[in-house]
Amino acid sequence: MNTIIKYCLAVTVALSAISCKKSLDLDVENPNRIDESNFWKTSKDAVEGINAVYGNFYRNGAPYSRWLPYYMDVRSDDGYSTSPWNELRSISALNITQYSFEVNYDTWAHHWRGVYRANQVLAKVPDISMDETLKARILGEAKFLRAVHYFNLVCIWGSLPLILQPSLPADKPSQVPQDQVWTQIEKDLTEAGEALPISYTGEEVGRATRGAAYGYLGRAHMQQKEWPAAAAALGWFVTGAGSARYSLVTNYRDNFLHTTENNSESVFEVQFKQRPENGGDDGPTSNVGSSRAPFFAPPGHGFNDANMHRWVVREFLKENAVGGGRDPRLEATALYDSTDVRGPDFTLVYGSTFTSKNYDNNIKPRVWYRKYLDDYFRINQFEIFNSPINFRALRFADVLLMYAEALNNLNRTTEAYTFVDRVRQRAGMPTLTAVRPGMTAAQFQLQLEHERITELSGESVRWNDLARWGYFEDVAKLAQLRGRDSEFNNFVIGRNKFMPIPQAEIDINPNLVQNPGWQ
Amino acid sequence: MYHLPTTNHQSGCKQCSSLVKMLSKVFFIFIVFLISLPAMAQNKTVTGRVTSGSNKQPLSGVSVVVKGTSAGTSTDANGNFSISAATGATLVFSYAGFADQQTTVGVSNTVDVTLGSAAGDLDEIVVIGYQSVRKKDLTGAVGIVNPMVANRNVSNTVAESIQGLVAGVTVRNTGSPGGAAKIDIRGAGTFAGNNPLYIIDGMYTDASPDFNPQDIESIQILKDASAAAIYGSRAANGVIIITTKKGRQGPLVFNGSVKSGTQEVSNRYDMMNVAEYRTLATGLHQAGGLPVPTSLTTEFDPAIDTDWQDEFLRRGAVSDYNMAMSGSIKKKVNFYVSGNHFQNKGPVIDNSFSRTGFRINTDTKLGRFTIGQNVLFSWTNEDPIAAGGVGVNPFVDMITMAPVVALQGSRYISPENPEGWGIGLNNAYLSTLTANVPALQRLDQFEQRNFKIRGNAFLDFRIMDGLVYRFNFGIEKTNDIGEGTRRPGTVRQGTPSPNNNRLSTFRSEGKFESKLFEHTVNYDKKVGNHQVSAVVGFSNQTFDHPIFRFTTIDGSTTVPDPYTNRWNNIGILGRVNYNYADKYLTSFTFRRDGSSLFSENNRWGNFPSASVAWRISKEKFWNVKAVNDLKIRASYGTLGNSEFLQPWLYYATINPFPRAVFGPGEVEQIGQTVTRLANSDLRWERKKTSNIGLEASLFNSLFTISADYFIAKTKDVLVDLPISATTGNAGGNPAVNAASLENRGFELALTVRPPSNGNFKWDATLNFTTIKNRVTAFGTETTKFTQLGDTRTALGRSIGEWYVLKTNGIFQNQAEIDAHKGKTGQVLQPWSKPGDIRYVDVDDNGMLDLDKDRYYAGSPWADFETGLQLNASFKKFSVNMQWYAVVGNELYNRPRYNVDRMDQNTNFRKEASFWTPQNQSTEWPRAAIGAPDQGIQYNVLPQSDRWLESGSYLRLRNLEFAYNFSKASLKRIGFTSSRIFVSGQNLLTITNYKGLDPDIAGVNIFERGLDNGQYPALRIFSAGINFGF
Repeated sequence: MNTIIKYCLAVTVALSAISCKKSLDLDVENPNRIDESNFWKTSKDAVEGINAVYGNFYRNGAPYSRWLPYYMDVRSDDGYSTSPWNELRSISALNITQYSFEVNYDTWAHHWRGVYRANQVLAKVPDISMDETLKARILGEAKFLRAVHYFNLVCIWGSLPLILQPSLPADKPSQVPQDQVWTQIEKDLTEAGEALPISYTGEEVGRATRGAAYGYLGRAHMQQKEWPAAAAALGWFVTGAGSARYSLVTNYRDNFLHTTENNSESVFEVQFKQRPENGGDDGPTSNVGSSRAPFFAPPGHGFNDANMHRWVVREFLKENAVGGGRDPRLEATALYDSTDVRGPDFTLVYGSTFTSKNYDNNIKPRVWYRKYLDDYFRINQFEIFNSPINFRALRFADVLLMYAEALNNLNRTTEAYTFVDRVRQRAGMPTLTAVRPGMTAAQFQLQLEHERITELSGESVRWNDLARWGYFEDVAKLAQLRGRDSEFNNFVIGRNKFMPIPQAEIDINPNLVQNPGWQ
Repeated sequence: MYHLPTTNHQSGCKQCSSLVKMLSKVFFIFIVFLISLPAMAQNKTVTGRVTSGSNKQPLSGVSVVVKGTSAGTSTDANGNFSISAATGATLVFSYAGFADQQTTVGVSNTVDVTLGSAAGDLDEIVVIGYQSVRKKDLTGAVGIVNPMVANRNVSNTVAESIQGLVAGVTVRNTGSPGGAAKIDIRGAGTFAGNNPLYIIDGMYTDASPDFNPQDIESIQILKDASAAAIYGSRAANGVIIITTKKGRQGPLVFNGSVKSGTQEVSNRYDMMNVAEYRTLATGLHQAGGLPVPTSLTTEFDPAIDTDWQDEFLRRGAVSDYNMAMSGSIKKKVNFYVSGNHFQNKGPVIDNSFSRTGFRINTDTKLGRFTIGQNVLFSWTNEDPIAAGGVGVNPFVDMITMAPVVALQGSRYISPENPEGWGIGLNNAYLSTLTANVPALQRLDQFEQRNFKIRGNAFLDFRIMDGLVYRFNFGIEKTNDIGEGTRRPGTVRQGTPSPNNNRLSTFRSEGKFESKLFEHTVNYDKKVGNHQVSAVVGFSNQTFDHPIFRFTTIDGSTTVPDPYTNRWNNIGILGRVNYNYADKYLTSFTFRRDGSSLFSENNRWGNFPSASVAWRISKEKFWNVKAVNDLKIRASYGTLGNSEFLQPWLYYATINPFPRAVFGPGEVEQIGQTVTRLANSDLRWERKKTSNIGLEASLFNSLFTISADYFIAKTKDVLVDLPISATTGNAGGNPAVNAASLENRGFELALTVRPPSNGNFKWDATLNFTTIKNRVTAFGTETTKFTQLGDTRTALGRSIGEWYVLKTNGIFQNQAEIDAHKGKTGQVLQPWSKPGDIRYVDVDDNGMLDLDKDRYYAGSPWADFETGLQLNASFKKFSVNMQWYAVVGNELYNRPRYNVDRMDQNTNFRKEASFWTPQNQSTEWPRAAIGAPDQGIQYNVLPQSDRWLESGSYLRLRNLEFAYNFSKASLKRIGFTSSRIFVSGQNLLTITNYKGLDPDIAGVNIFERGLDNGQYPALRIFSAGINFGF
């Protein structure tokens, strides 16, 4: 009997030991994801790595997809907000009290995510053995994208940490002087320009080009008022190799439609596409569309979180087109009772006439930013979070106006006329050479301000224009802004040029110093 | 005997059809067993009652056997039994947790028995993990719950049922049907995953809502390191050991109970009706300089006066049916089978939970072998509250939605809202971002169905006397299916989605499987005054949890991202207990644990502990008559924790989902990169606990006292600490061993049990807990605090204290504004107008800073908690009360913030008003809708102490009246026992808290005092019957 029991016991123990041998292994394989030790090995990995940097543009609330215009347009003197979302309105109203509220936090965080992804490419791809031409292009794209993210960061927040390596969780970087950030932006863009091709074909169209790099390089120098350097970078477009590549499209409005993307005027576009799902960030059903439109669309079609000031409309009406008609750019720029020159009975708001909308006296006088609205095909619908319209981050028209501005600041005003005239002529406006010859540099500057408002309103350049033109330092100029936009009564010189860094960041990283005036 | 009136009665009930099916299965088994029963001898009928020595509570299910025969019975719900036996025969009473007791039948026909010694409950056997010891031999801190007391409450989970019953155990409830309560044993010792480890019949698991509390025979709570150390790395949050009921030798016993009642959100916010709303909202728009919405003027419809709380809430119902049968076949096979059906129609529309469980526990003796198994099959079905969509918070939206919005109406119909559910429309009519939650409940139909098998099988082999080998195999296997349909329609103004006007369906499938393999050897030896018991063992558990999700929109299906979690644990364990003459007791425990959750260098950890106890009252010099038992004990040990970690967190993975769109064809090209950072140096959390305790029994057990003081220090606390966004991290913060925590506490349990005075008996048990929690280090970094929302967790303070702006009344005139200056002489709030809130320049730097002028305004942790149970009986009537109090915590009332800020189109509380020169107030500041006015902005700042409220409360948690029928009256209907009762739960709450319920679980460990619109604990009236035959 005893032997039988012992035998049974032995069998039981042996069986159970065998059955759990596999589970005794504490190295449990991850069936879901690979890790870095299996990545950054091949050219495919390099391409996918750089694609992921572009992928940062699509995250919910990512800057180009949603929030950037609040900082660059609505916050400026051409826009204001009546949003019921108090905190969102406070960005526009220049009296933000919730530094960490989601828009300010997300805009900050999304930019750093772009930096992190670009840094991974720049740190890992050089060691991959692959086609050197492709490698150089990928590294160029990464430098360009890193610079674009830093450009927005430095324009919005001023003083920043300069992070050029993939981060570690415990990193608590300190800020560097702004100059150092600008220098890095210029370095990245210069190197990107050297590495990137002038154009792409087929399924690569939309990637960063040499023109994109030099255009942003010009923009960076402009913002620092480094006029010779700006003129040099932008000169590539008019006298250099870029001159054959870029031209203005005939129809101004083609710059804001999803059917005429990546055209001859496009220097850099963030590529958006509409698809049925618009799920979470970096997940299997993630959005690849833009979520800007719902926030900007008028009541019934969007949240109406942003309005354009009526003075912008009047700015267009100051001058007639050749032949006496209205500046045709107004229709593409502003949605209001007379977007159609014939008035509210003919102006269409998402397919229905303005009159039929029965807006009350509070709504009727309002003006909405029309660029990037889907009103031309989403007839009688509410806007959605995945608009297909590419965001034209940099257009050739902007390049021409910047170049003219740089020349004017270098006392080459006469030369500058040509480039402004190209922009005006495309819009059907008479040339300055004809109607306003012989302006002084100062007069020409004021003319440029008019030109940029009429050509570029709603394209997220206004805030930087005002900053560059000294409106944020000069009391008299600030008074002009206050006259146009009462929200500027909250503007404090030395404070409001930059946004406060989200307080949550400063709480986590004591090495960060809050911007002046927001402490 | 087969005639069951209650069953016949129920068969007409549609919702109980599954119960009926289950019952018929039970009866089938029952009949089969009955046939195998030997005939009973005919003798005189002996009746009696069995009670526990520890608390004088009747013990149900005690096996009563006539020695040397197969005749036997077991006690009913009231501890009563009835058996045929001859005079002179010996009755053997046995019950898990108690030593067997034998009594000879004398001339009397009545035999009352108390299990446990005269000294009280000290002979009670306590399961401490891989071993059982007499309660009087305990050297560690162990809390014991009487399941009968716990089960007086209608509860989703075991945790919920023991609120207020055990010192040192803190429970925060949710009223959500099928929802799980939050339980802390001895405070929050870690930042995340503070749930205790549950051991059910030797299986490492959790006591989720699929577990039927009626199957519980005993609950032990291991609180300190020495008690819990045998569970090593998984015991840092305490261990709850649950033993389910077992069959005993003796005849078949049948017990059942039926309980039924109503359930509701008893407390409501007192919100404005449409007339009151119209007046106030009109004023607020005018104050903000905005046109008054036409819904209040030209288009005002007096017929619409929606009470959104009424539309969202309803009267719910609960029913709980239990049947259990136990016995033994040929004295070899003991069995316990039970069936249970619990049905909860929630107090919110379209919200319910049901559970059907079937349990079979058996054990069989075969010579030196004992084999057995305990297994539960359970089916649950939950229809939760829909919260689909950004910004939808049902318990907030039900009070914020304005009464001028109709539940449904043609005005609201649009392509996105085909059914016309009432929402905000536009600025002119009414613009509001509040969601129509009753509509969402209807549009979003989702159901979670789970099937679970949980149990264990074991084989004991008695190698020699006192030496037993055990192989234990445990398994938990679940199949979780979530299925939902979302009908077209939007429920909130301006929530566009391409799918609003399409039908979408959702399905998720999860399969969880956990297997446990354990080998242990137990040794027990007593030589003279020396008693040694020891156990050594090996334990291995594996986990596998794949999840699939499918979404179908307009018929096209995606199968995105199936994901599987897998992890393994290995433990080597041992414990030695030594007892000299019941006077000197000591215990040493060791466990070495390995976990796959950590990187190779950090996988293994050692967790030792030791404890001693001294029974002073056994010493010869002890001559204090009043103290009949006195024991002091001390323990020290280390426990580990890694419970909240997900697998593979110690390295960064490549996210395969980023996409980039290029080319004229808008091709989505694949992107891959690291999006979420990882911390490669994750280590075990280590919790070192010291405990000193005292147990005493006074005046011949009139009073029993147990008191403990403990210090628990946790090092390397694991937490998803927010990291700087400059790192570029996305998709969740990486886990890190970031901090050290300390909890110090005092626990007291006091029982008074006067000797029975004829027909009247009473007893009372009071427990008291105070825990002080403190952060003692933030890793090795320079960090001094971590802030989340309006809480700050700072060095030297408790976790998640409120850190907010300090308000100091309301400016009544301009002079007060001008006089409110900082130390540099600057007016602190130049933008303010009379009626605005005055904020204090806390840091006294002459400026008002929204982030620096904050102070620690209170803690979410209670100063103390206390529970009181009162039991009294007179003849056949009994009454039981459970009181529970929480004192000294501070809560953030987020729902009130949403309606009292009054700068948005919400409804308002009935008492709301706002400051105007004509209506000066010291309570209500100036308010306006739509004003871009800094003064208003400051009045509605969420980060201020204006929204904090005391969370102290005293609650009558349960009140039960019961009547026990006499045996004689029952005999005619074939019952051996019956008891009817009515009970009320959460009948009375005394509190100053303005929200629905101060008993809230919070949002996360750092925001434990945040009432974010949580499901409140419910008031339940129920009545029921227990019976046995």
